[in-house]
Amino acid sequence: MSHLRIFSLAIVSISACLFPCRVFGQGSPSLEQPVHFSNDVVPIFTKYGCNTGGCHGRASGQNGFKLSLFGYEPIEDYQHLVNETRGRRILPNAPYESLLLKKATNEVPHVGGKRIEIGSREYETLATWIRQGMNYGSPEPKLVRIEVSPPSTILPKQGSQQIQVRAFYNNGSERDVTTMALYDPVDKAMASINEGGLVRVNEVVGDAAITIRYQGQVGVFRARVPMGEPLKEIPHPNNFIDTHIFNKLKSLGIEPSEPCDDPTFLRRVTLDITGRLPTLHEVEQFLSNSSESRRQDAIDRLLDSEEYAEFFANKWNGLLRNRREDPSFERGCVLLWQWIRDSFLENKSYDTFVRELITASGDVTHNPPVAWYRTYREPHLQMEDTAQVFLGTRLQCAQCHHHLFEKWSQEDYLSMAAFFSQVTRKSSGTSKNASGNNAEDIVVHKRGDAQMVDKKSQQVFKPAALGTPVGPLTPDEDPRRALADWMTDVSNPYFARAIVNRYWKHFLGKGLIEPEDDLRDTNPPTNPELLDALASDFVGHGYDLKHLIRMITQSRTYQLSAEPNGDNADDQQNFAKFYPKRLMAEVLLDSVDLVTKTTTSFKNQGANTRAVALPDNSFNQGNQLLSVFGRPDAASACECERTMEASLSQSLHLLNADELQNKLANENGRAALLAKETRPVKELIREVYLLALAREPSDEEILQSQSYLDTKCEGKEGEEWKKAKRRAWEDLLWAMINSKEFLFNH
Amino acid sequence: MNRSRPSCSTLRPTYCSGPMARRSFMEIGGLGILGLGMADFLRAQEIAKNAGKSIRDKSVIFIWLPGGPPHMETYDMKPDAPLEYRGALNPIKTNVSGIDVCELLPLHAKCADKYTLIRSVHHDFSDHGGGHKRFLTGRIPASPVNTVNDAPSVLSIMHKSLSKPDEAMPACIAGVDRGRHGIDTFAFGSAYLGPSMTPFIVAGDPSAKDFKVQNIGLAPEMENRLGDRLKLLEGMDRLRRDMDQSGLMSAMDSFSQRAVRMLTSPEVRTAFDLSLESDQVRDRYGRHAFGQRGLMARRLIEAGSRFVTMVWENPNDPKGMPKNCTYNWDSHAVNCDMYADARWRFPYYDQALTALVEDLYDRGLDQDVLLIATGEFGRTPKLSQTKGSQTGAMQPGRDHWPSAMSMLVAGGGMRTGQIVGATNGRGEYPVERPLSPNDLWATVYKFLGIDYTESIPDYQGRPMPILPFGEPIEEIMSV
Repeated sequence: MSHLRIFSLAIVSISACLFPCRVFGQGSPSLEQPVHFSNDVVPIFTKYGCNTGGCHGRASGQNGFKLSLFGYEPIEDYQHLVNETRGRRILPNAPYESLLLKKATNEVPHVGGKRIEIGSREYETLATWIRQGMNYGSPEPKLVRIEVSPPSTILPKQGSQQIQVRAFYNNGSERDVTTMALYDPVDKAMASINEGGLVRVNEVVGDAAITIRYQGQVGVFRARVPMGEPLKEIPHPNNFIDTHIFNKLKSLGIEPSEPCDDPTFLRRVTLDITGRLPTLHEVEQFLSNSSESRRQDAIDRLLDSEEYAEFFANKWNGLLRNRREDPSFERGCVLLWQWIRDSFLENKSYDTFVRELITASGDVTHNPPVAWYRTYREPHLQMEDTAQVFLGTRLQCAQCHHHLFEKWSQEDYLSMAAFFSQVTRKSSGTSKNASGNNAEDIVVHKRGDAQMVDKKSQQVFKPAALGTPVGPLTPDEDPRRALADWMTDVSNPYFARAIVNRYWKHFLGKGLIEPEDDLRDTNPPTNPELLDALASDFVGHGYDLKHLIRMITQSRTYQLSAEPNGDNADDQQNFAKFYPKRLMAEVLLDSVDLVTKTTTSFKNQGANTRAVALPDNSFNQGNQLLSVFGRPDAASACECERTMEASLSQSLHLLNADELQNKLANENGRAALLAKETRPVKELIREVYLLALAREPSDEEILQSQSYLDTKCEGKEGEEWKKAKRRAWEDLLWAMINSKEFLFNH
Repeated sequence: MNRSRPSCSTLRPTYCSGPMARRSFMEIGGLGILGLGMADFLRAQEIAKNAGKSIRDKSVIFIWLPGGPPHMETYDMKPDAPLEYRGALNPIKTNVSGIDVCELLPLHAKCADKYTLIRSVHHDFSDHGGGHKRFLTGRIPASPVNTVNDAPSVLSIMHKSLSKPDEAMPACIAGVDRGRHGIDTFAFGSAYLGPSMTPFIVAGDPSAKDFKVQNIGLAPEMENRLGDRLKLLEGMDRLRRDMDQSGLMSAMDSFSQRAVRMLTSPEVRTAFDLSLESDQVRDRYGRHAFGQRGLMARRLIEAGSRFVTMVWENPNDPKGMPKNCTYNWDSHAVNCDMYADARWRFPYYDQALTALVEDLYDRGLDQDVLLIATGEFGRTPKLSQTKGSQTGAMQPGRDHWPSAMSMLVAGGGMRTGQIVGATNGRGEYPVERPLSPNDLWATVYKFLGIDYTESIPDYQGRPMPILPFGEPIEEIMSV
């Protein structure tokens, strides 16, 4: 082992000199290494941002000088640099007078300012290349991979670590490219890195990752920042999830919070599975239940409810862009939504659910998933959604250039899109919408060879699933079936991971990978072992979504209290406590309705329709609360469209909106009913607490509410007194709704 | 999208929700609801009563014309260019010799002494998203498309720079159409400044009969009750704030404090109430979305707002929009017959904008209030002919053109009655005094007394200058 290390160090020191530098360059041409265009010159353009989309990398170049985006086309770059504008960018006889150097150093005014320093290593490299006669160099050696050392380390808070990046070429050579690589911290709150590869971590405990890029190759460096000494003991796990979570907490030295109490659990799990507050009946039943299995029973009961299916249909409605872009879409929207809901109701296995969507053919009435093919009519757009939603892979970048943080190339992009190239549409005879398309298309497979053609090179690409060929397809075979086969194969590395991560985030408030639909080597999970275990458990149980939810919600991790234990207050990554989540727009509206005992009416929907059970986005505009609290418009397949940010409008809405005032003051609403009640006030206050917060009020809380009611209703009983009493109840409900305990799932 | 934030940054106290001892938490709990005690509440009421009586601050009305108005049909006519460039409209003379404007802007022609036309701003982002981000952030956006900012918009920076803790009126307000009120619709987002720095959005058409600013002012019977309610909430709201490290709870608390101040201020309510204006004034501005939004901008500035953005897309005349016209300024042939659209749209624009210019001067606001009207880019100098998606007929239009654009600047004590910069004979690119959107913003920041070389920390705490480049446009700076 030790001799290996010495060997590699020796290579590093030699390879450092492979890089042309002043020491070898000046005065000793015999020793000077030839500068290689794609291996030595292009990386400089990349490092200093010359070939980014905002500068010379734009499709149209910048001020007459164009470079290929991020240097992926070195031959083109060479042409632009050496042959264009009669070679005035380069002066071989006086290299330092070349416009290339004069501009880069801002000696000649450069809109992009000074990019490199006169006399720097990069400056001399460019000059040497020019002096040597601007050789393109042979196509070899080709960069094959990069390696980061150390690949990972443990650092104290505010600690730092110099990393080294080495590039390996196909001729067996290697070199140190630490100063030429590009670095991006995955979570900027956790760590930063300077241009020279010096990593600094902040105060945040957990795993920090740095993405490293060099000429199309990517790597990652990880630093673990522990809280302190490893824990001696960890709590007893409920299932495998806890084993992985607690093992990590143990190594980080973070003590997990205590388990939450029963009322908190019931409210939390009811909101997360069914998108509603527990009913009075449910709360009372649960709180009086002392059986060992009461939490598991509650989970099972909720999963069996229709509300579970509705709530998750609401989630998937957004992801599947079930959007009423045109009034003529209404029927298709409703049918697709019903199909999603029914799929969850019957607990259709997830692989079947996705297969039915991907391979959907026919008309909406008989096969509602074809509505998924309604908005996007180009194969590549349908492919992008497929990759992002079901595989957690964002291929959008690779449409125009090699993905910056991934291995995906334009070839991968087009080959993946080729699966959808034979999707065609037939008129269903329904009315035309604004874009001149039928509101409802019949989706069919068009006989022929599935392929996509690169517009630039005219190269033809056959279907391949993220680089994996799927074998020959006959013209009669619908290539989407081959894609579905590949996706739902038990060994697929993306499919199960993507969904378990998405569901993990739904329940725990933060994905093991963030954003939840951006799985890639350079965006590592915070707990890889757990992600693997969740995925294999999910596959092993036949892609059973209810099983997945059961595993997550039964875990001790999910059932931890949100209250920090002092030690773990700062934890934002390791699930040492439950992370509170603001109620999402639909859930908030339904909860307000429940507390105020009112309903919200939606156009063409039944009187008691819950906001979480609305079939599409078209209801958002008509409802202030839904729009200010960010119900998504299903415009993209990204869950990030649902904004969970706070805003002034939200605060104003909760404090004073007519919508809310009218609900509080409704003639048949809760405040009016409570004011008429003859039962003891104490009992009524308790009921309000059970309804809104799913817990018993403390004696102090009862006293406080009681005294408020008393002060507001002094004097003789009469009309005024009745009014005052009702108003006092309205005020109490208002305060309840405005409390963070109500607004958050915690 | 991952919007993770630092757990604790001393530079941004609103987000500093770092480790908190039980004791300090209890103290805050004792102080009151939403972090705002009753004393603060009463003080806010008191301050609100006296608001609007202090010395005038400089302020800005920013008219945003999304889609990109055609520079060669508005402020940079090229009557001598080849036919396929010059288009169908003719210039007319104004009351300042040498300044010509489009024949469809006759009211502009009467007050050219009160504004400056800039004809030489240009940039490189030809997508609406990229154009919006480029123009409204003063930075080169990371992505040339979509409208989600990676750097804060000027609106958000203004909000941060100009907000005063005791001011009931929001410093930064933006009026937009209903359904276009998302902060990201026009790249108004605050990026690393955080969600509390977004402008207050007024959605809806103030010329519509049922228009109402949501959540402004209190109904009379609520005035005392809100105090009672807040006191009650103070006692009830016991959730530990240190449960949440994401910054969301503290952001909600700080918004609630601001909301209370807005609700309790009579000035805020009246600022939005256009019925307090005479019919004569309302008619002069025009009874359509452009006109009444313009009037509202002036009222909001008078009430203490500092940077009011009004988005003029669809004038929303009750008479409706002709079929061969389009929603906003994006006059591609595929969207509209651009000349039909101009004949329909420009009169609303002409009326509303000149009303605003004249009103600022009439009310003596011309020294303290700067008015700017611009879109995200100009339009292709060469006309195109395409089949319209609505009309099905071949019709003329122009596409996106960031290499040249025109804008109007008025008031602000600036030098007016002049033209800055020039494009070539075909309106393709600046040939005199090329300027970037940043030069405009540098001018605006200087006018407002904001040092644009100062830095704002980004997610990493790295100092990002308010403007990475750009110089005030000397030709128009105060005489």
